[in-house]
Amino acid sequence: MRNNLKYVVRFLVIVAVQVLLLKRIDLSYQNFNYIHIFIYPLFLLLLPFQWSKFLYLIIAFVLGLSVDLFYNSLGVHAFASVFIAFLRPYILRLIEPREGYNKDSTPTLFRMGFAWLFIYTSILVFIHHLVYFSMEVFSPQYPFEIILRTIFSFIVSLTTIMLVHFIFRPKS
Amino acid sequence: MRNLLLFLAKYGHFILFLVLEVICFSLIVKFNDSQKETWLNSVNLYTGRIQEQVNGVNNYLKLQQLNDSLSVENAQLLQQIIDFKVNTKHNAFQNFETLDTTIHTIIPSRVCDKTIRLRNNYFTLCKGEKHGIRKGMGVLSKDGIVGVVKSVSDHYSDVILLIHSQSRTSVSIKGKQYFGNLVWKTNDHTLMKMEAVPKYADVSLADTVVTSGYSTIFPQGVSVGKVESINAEQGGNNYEIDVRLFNDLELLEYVYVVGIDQGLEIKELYSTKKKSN
Repeated sequence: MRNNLKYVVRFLVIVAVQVLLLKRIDLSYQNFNYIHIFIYPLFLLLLPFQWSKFLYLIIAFVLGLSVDLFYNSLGVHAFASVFIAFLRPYILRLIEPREGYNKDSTPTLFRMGFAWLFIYTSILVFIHHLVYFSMEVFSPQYPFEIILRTIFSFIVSLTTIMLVHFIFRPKS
Repeated sequence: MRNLLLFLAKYGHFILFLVLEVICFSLIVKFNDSQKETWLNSVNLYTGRIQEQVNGVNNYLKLQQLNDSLSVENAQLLQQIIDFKVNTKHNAFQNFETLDTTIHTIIPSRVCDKTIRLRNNYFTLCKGEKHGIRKGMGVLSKDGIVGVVKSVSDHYSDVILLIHSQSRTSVSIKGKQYFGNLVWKTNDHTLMKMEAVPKYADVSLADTVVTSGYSTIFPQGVSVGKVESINAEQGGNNYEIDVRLFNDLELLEYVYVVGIDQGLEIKELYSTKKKSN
């Protein structure tokens, strides 16, 4: 119960930081407006390994919709976060360490080490950003815009998420 | 049942994933203006073509109905034009006689059957007495006159065409006061002869031939054809004028049957005159 409460609080805090703080940060310089920081995928990334796949999807949907409500883009964030929630178990299997995952464990810096966490986070955040910007631009007419936004935002978001890992050092 | 559960346990998350993504997608295209625009446009790009095809077929199936309604509309417009022409009374002769021939009915009708290549050619119209067609009414098309109703049954009527060996129509040259009879002597179904035009008449090529209004069948001034050549009759006082019809009777599908108000009245008058003579 206490454990679940932790996830609820974390959910609220991450969404609040995303929509109240990061949304207002404007890193555009003249025509260069490719940087948008998204840390809310962190919530999905920090979920335990052994939870049901259904639960991941539902949580991702709710998370995405909550962010969408504040971004006035109903469905766009939800689409991207459901997408990575679906892929997460497969990515986990792909980058499984030799000794396997500890049951009831969570993918944190403390448990998994920097190298593994970096790869894990970058793969999923990159996919998230790619899907998100594809849905946001919503037209194959602007492939460069999608790619540039994905790459620049990915770098900044990844840095931010890794910083959060280092600063707060979530144990589980 | 067990298999179904197994299947759901194995692939259920994938189905849920698809369902959620579809929900997200529909939310995106429903609540985001720019995405909605793009979505509608690109969907239209593909569905538009299909719609077009379906519409094409649909239109083709509705063609008959459409034509019918158009011909009714045309009939109304035609009536207005003819009424207008008659009411302006620009013709001095008409003014003098106050012969106010007004059309009182225009009945649009489809041509059910026709003969063109014979010596005596007929149309069969798909409307008859029930629709208001009477014997002796004139038949017009959008390009000119067609013929005269010869006989009517309840639902059909026979029309003697211009291209009938016995057809004889009183016509005049538009804008000039020369009259003559239009008869058919050639084998060409668009070429008529205008007879009994005096040699002093000032007729030139490409003049338009219109109905004279003397007959009780056609209203005055309906175009008939164009003067194609003018020949002097051998040893006679008259011209024989070749008239090229505006109508191609072979292609006609829709005609208008016209009834003139005083037409029958005048006819009766003539017949009583003849009797008394």
